[in-house]
Amino acid sequence: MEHASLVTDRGVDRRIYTDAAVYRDELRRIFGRTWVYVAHESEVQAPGEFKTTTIGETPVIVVRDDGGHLRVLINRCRHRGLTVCEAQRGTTKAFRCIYHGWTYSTSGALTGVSHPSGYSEDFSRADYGLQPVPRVGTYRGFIFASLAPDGESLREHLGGAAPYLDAFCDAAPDGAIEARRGAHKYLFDGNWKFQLENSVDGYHPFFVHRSFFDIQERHSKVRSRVFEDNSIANTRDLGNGHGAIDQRAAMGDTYFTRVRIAPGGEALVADLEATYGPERTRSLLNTIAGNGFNLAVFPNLVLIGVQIRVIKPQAPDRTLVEVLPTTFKGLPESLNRMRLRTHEAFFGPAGFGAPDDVEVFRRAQRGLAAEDVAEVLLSRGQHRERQEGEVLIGDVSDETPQRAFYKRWRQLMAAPERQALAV
Amino acid sequence: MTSSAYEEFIYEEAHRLDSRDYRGWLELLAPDIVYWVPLRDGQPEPESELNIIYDDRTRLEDRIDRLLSGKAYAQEPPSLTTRSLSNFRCRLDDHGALVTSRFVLIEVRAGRQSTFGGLYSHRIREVDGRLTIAHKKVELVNAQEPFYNLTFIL
Repeated sequence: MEHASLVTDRGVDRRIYTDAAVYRDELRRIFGRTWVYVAHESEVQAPGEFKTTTIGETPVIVVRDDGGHLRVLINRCRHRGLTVCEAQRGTTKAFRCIYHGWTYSTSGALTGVSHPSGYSEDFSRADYGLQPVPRVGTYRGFIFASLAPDGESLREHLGGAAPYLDAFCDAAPDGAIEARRGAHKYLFDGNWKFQLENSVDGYHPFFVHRSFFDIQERHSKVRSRVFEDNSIANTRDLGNGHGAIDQRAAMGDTYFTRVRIAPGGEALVADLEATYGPERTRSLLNTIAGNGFNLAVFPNLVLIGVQIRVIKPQAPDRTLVEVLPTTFKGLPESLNRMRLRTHEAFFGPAGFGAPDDVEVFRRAQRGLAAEDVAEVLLSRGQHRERQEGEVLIGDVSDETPQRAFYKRWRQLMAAPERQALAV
Repeated sequence: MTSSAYEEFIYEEAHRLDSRDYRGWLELLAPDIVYWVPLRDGQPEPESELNIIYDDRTRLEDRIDRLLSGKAYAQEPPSLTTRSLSNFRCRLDDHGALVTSRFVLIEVRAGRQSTFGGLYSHRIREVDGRLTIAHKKVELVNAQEPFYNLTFIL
């Protein structure tokens, strides 16, 4: 209960970002219990294809085993505890520990123990496979895992975020996205929650990203109104800690127009219309650089523009972020390349936007060292939120998604701690 | 022109970058410049994959305008850099030269000192006795590792 009380009616206490005990508690009560995003199915397509990542600080391997089944295995040798896979991604027939040569199949089974006569007859290799993460679930190709054997289903957890995941995939001609063109990775000296909050913060773009909008306006001669005070875009509390900025109503034909007026654009549009017809062409091009929403799926997945963004805490004041732009299966390669170029313009460690957010996180962590000023204010728009069905809606610059996030945070931090897996 | 003239030219480029003379740097670039920082080892071309940087002239000018705007907060305060180039290899042809060199770069910003290193490949074009950079590729040894900040010019 102690840490749950750090969330107040108007905001949060600074210690949720700075305190090592809070951080350790988050690893257990949040990352150790809820559904955590680990990879996209397109990253592990062929048998033996794997990716390493973390659930909180627990190292895991996401792998398509020899039989084609998806596995999420704890990346830790059952003998003396080493990681058995150090590569970020690749294809393998087995995982072998470098210390004493214990070898595991892609499904995690212990297949080889060197000098086995050193173990007594009651030693069974079947008892010493790589520990599987107890629950694995996929939704539209997004792979989630939970370190807790019991709990709500993935569908229950996703709740109001699911329609956004659907929209992200359904923008593709055959409803399938791929994340195989590379990943930007960046580190910052700040708490992981800064990145989650910021991903659905509609109050900051107008200020932090002014330099980007200035460039955009110079080329397009059009001033974006999406983040202005009277914008018809809005923010959303989707329940279960998930939040969004939904700009779809304000997007119109922004991207379609941008493609059409680009060099060679008219011809490209004509080609696409011959294949998809005018309406589908328009909708395809209108999502070429993104769907017009920012979605934060509690606690570590973000969808913005064309990208899947994964937030990985490393310490109370250090976070790793992995960003994967997606392409559409079945889309002409020229348009998929347009997606990649649009992504590079703003994101990545050398982009025109994301690095400025990172500077925000660095300064926030420094400022919050001030112990005498406890409150971090998240009350913007509290007085004007409106309920529409299951969804709580705020204006585009309101802190509705951040409050959504901390409602869930408080619930999980107040709930009893999960016991370690009985292994 | 001799190899050493090309090397001198690349030293001049390095000097302008370390002096943060970004406008002066743009003057060294051809109108059809491509500035490419690949994201992985051995990446054959930039089009079909994600890159750290893949800029044409327009985007590079935008990049410099942004850095000098006072609103690019990732460069407020700016990165201070010093770089050392060596191991030059120069292949001359009718249009100029392809010059590769190794670099080590120290960057200091906001209390953090970082070291970068890698391989520069400069496509240098000679037009009317004047040298311009037509293509610059920067292969970082740590391209696949996470970065704190790469908003300065490599």
